Amino acid sequence: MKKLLFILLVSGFIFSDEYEYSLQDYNATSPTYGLDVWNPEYTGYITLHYFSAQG
Amino acid sequence: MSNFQNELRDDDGYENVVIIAVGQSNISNFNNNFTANSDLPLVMDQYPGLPIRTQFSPYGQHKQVVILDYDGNLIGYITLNSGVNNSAKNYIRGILEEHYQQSVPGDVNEDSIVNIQDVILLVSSILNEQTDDNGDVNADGTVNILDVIQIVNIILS
Repeated sequence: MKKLLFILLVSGFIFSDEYEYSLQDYNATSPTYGLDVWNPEYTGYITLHYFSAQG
Repeated sequence: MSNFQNELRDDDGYENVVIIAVGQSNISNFNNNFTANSDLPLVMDQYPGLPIRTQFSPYGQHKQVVILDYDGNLIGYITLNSGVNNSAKNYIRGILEEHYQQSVPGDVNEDSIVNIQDVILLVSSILNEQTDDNGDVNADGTVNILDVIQIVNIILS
């Protein structure tokens, strides 16, 4: 039983896909300009992270 | 994308949904195009390590939108090769419809029920001088006895 519990805990840790970052908002026209997003400013939000390498 | 953020908030009523633009620090004129004339928050993934992209790998490709739930778990992704067209919007709206949790006024402990437990939790947080956004039931910017009264009224009604 202990073995099973251990395996479940370890596998839960390995396969957990929680993402997180806290970086300054650089857009001067954003309401959170200069603050750290997504944490803590948008904690409790569903977040859409729009990636771009566009210049 | 900024327009779509406004649509989600103003037309669809998704208040606690945000689109964050993720750029790269090595692209100096990034902000001029990507978030120009927009109010989207913009963060810079630091070159050369690009830690955000490393963390999100295999997601986080150019023009990709990665959607995460309240706990930071992946709930969807889409690559906007053709811009934010109706197909992309419908896909994102479908994800949000499935995962968005409408806040219930007075539901301090977020169990989707307003009852005596919320009153106890709120009184406790007031006595301990803790701030709890869920406790600001009357939305006056402060959490105090007026919010407790409001919750009691919600329960009684």
